[in-house]
Amino acid sequence: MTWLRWETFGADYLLLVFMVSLGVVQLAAAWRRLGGLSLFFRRRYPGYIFAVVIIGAGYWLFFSEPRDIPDYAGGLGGSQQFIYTLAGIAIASLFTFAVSSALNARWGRSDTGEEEGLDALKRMTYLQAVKRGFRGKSR
Amino acid sequence: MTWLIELDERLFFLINGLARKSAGFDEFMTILVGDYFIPLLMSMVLFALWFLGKDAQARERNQRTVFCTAAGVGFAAAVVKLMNLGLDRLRPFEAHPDTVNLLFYACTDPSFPSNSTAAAFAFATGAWFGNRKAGALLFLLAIVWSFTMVYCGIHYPLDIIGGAAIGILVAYAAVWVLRLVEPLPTLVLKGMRRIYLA
Repeated sequence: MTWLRWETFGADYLLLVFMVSLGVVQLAAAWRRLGGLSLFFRRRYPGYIFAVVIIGAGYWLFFSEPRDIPDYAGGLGGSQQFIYTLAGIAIASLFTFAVSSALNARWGRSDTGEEEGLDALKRMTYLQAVKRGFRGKSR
Repeated sequence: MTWLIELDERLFFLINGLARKSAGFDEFMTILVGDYFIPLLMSMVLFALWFLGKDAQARERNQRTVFCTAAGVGFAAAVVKLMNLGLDRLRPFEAHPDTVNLLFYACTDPSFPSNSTAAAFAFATGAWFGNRKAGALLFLLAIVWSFTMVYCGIHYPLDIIGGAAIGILVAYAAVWVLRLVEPLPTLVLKGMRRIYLA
């Protein structure tokens, strides 16, 4: 898997956080039936399996080589790790919003106008929800 | 105090003496004790909590728990950093270089209190206030992580107890601080709900 290894330890860790966060969002989407966040599977069990595979793959890729590297020898310090974790979560969330909105563009829009926040994503994609929000404000 | 240190060291060697009996188990423990496996798992439990909850009210409670836990972990790290200025206990592998089974890299910060344990217990306690199931899972992970630190020779049991106490107390303080800064968390959540992030 050397082709997947980037130059720095930080990039490897960022990839780990990205993949695991992506899996967690898919797990939550399947559990709470947030179809607007689903990347490929809106049904519950295929969604769970997809999420577990992504999370497992992320961990496997990262831990397929020794990772007990101190921060003074190329590893990450506490604050660096915190920043990389936040960045990985943010990138995975943005990726999910963008890709799920593109893939599910023809799905949903059964807008009851009642759901707020994440609940709105049970019936529409993130992009559709944001557009609805803007329409609501311009009225 | 001498009897406490002696007891601590005896308990340390009892647990650390289990190492180097099985190469496979040692390798597994080396992965668990690392800075990435369990901490990321704990962060992801918290991240999942953001999306979960039977209804909007339960989800909001979970999201407040995420704020509270994040604040607690930050406070715990700050408290340990401050304590490290005054306390400088040698790591077990530094104090007993010939007898300790060191399965991890040689950490350079002081042994007491364990900063990783403080953060882990702050995580678990913060989550426990808002969601018992997530809290119990995080406590289990915190205990496993703490055990691996003694097993792998990087902390004494007393470092772990000190770190855990700091983590738990500081998480309590974080709940209190978050109540003090209300309505800020409510406003943040309201704003995030408007853009479908909460």
